[in-house]
Amino acid sequence: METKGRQPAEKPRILIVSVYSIAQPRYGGPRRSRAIFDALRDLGGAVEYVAVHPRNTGIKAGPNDVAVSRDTQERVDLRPYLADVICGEAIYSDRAVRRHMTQLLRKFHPDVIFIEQIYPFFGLKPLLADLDSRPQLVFSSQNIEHEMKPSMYEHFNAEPDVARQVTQRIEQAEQELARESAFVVAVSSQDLEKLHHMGARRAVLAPNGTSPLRASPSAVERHKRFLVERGIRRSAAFVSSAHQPNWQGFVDMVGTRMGFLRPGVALLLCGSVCDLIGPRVATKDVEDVTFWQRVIKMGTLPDDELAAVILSAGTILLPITQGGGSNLKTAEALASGRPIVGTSFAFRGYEEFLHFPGVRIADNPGPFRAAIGESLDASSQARSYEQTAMVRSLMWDRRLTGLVEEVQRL
Amino acid sequence: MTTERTWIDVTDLMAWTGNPTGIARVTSGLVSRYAARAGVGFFVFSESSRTFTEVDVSDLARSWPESRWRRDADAPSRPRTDPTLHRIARGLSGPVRRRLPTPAKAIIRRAARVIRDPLRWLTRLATSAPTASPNVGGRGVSRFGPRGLVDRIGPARSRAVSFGPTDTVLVLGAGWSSPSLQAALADQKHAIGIQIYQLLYDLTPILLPQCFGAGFTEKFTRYLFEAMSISDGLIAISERSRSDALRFCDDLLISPPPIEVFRLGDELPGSDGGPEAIEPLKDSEFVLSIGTFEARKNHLLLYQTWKLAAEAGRSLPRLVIVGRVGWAAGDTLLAIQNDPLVGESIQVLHDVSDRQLDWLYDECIFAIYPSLYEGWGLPIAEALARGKLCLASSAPAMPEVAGDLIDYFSPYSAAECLSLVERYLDPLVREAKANVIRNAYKPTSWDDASLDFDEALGRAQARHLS
Repeated sequence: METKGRQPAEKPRILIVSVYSIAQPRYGGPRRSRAIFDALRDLGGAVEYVAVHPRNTGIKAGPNDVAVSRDTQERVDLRPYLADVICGEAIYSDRAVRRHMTQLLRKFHPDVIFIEQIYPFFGLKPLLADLDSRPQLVFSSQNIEHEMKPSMYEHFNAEPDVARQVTQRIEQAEQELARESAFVVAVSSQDLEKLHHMGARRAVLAPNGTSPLRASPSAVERHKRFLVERGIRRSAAFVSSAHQPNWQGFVDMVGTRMGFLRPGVALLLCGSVCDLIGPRVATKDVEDVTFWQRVIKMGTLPDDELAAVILSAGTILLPITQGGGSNLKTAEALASGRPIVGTSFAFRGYEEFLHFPGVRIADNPGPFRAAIGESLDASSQARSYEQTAMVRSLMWDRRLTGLVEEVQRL
Repeated sequence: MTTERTWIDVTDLMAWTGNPTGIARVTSGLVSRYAARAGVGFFVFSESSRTFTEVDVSDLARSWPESRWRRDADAPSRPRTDPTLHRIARGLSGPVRRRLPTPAKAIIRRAARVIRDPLRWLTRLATSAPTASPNVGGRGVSRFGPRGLVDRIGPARSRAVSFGPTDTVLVLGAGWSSPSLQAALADQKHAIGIQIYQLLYDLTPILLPQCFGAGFTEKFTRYLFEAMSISDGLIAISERSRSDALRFCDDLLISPPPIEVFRLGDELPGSDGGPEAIEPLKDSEFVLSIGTFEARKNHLLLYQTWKLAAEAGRSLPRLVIVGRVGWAAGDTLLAIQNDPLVGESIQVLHDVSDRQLDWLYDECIFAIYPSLYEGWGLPIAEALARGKLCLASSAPAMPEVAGDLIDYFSPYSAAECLSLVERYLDPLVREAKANVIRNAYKPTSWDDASLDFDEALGRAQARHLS
């Protein structure tokens, strides 16, 4: 199958392929992919997005999205920590998915395929070969995945042999796609360097960004009532997906011993990270019981409600200690205008904000906890005109400028 | 100009039914002294409305159900005290009283007891309850009556407490029985700026959770966590409790408030009518064990000790256990009541008056206290104050009460306990030990304890302000 010939003035037809839907993006990966989709569509050409995802996720699917078959889903259920790899492979190995993808590729005839993270490449590579299709590939990375996976697999008690083999396959795929791509997209200068080292010919830095945070007055009012009813005078918010390293960062930096927080102060845990936290958070009973005296699981909230929590918070916590890429939550926290307590690791890609008003950086648990107290007690600091402009630069349209320009050069 | 006031929480004291023991005894001992002072107010806390309602002595007395009050009114009146004794008792400071010879101290203690009207009515309220109920409301607190406490006071006498910014709040009782109290006090502290000082008994529910009912340790832990977090100072009943509390703070990253220690009184309140004999025990030799009948008090060890002796064919005097039924005591009680080998030699009394308690202390050959853990060990002190030996377990805080004046056994060794019991069956050995105790042990009246508490509170306040 040939890609359609294109006149120089024509806009490229772009297909974005991933293993998660962006119809209602809640977390880092989907939010970024959605922002890329929106930015490319704003160029005026044809842009489609397709996600090959597990069944019954409860997440709204987009018009092109396809769930894996039951047989494939059984493999996901057996090893949930390999869901991204299995879904990526399913593009070729799952007959129903392959049929869907084949039809889409034949119908849409993309000039460019953006591969969000590495996983779709596992199935897309053999499928494109079968179809004799040679669109330009763009490796849109969000992390250097093979570096992150070992600790995650260890956490989920993956069989060591399986973990090792899968990690090797991911590494090989990342290197291959880096070499074969028209250009690669990196979220941080560190990742950019690594991708160059893997053989990428061209690479563009597109740091994570954010959108303006807005909450409706009714959502703000509801949240205020929620706090008053519980006697909460000051709150700190920790917003995270059910990404194990994020929770580990909270445990490492904030901990489970909550005596450092005064009565009337609460830590609000927001997002699917709450699903990772069972009724027990510590091995010592006193820690376990008293943890919930100061911590409240808010769960996964609608955008409006989440914005109300963030905008009402005395401080936003970014206790990030591991992972790759740059943290989208950092951009969101900076854009919210609320004070922040974070690790320097959380500010990878946002180094220019390390000394921003209201930002406290601490890389050890004691100072981190002390910074939370100080931040909650401190009065708010106004931002200068220049600082406001710096925050404006965090918006997606600014962050993706380089990526868009690179696409226009294709 | 704002007037500085001290507010004392009497919620759980008001709720108490039966003879005041343990925490109720301590609270009533201190509250009765505060009742006579100017600038002191009392309040009860409503869990449902999270409000503080002011009460005073007359309110408290009138608020009690009429039937109980009438029973007290019908009781024979005591002879009036010599006014000279009255003045002496009032005029002497604690340190002066402590230096007096024992007979003089006894007279003054007696006089002080008689003039202590507030304590008398508190004791009357407590002892006139129809039936002592088990501690279903939590450790150290009995169940409220059919109506709520504020209802009993009546709307005409219900006055919402208006805390001032220089006021001090004292929580002397079982703060854990009001789960919202700490949060409500924290709100007042935040809004108005009151100072909060609380009496710290012990951390036993955390250290020995197996001895308490389901959910109680969690409830107590939450209470202690908040109490430690909001208090400007704590007054502990022993060095052991203090060190346990500091470790708790350290474990949970709480910046600990100043914690000072005071010594509890060891006189029995309300025993002015003289000892009252318990007929079935008259003319018999017995060993006495006082304390709530519950797992923590370790009556199981006493049962095993008496059983060990019976199986070996060794004769021991009768063991009289006095205490209301508390947590997790059923199995031990069942064993004692149904064991044909020792059933006759162990008697359990659940509700005795203070006059009967006086008699039991007077008539026992010695006391024994096998508890697994205590913040203090009040029965040891009460026995020693009467010149009686009390054998005790070597569990924490016990040696703080009696030092090397008494002998200790492992709370887990019936053989060790039996060996000590048998040693003191010899009247000569026992009398020699009792002599040592009478000469060396310095009893602490509740007046002295109250002064000691004042000093500890003052130290805590000074440390907080420094």
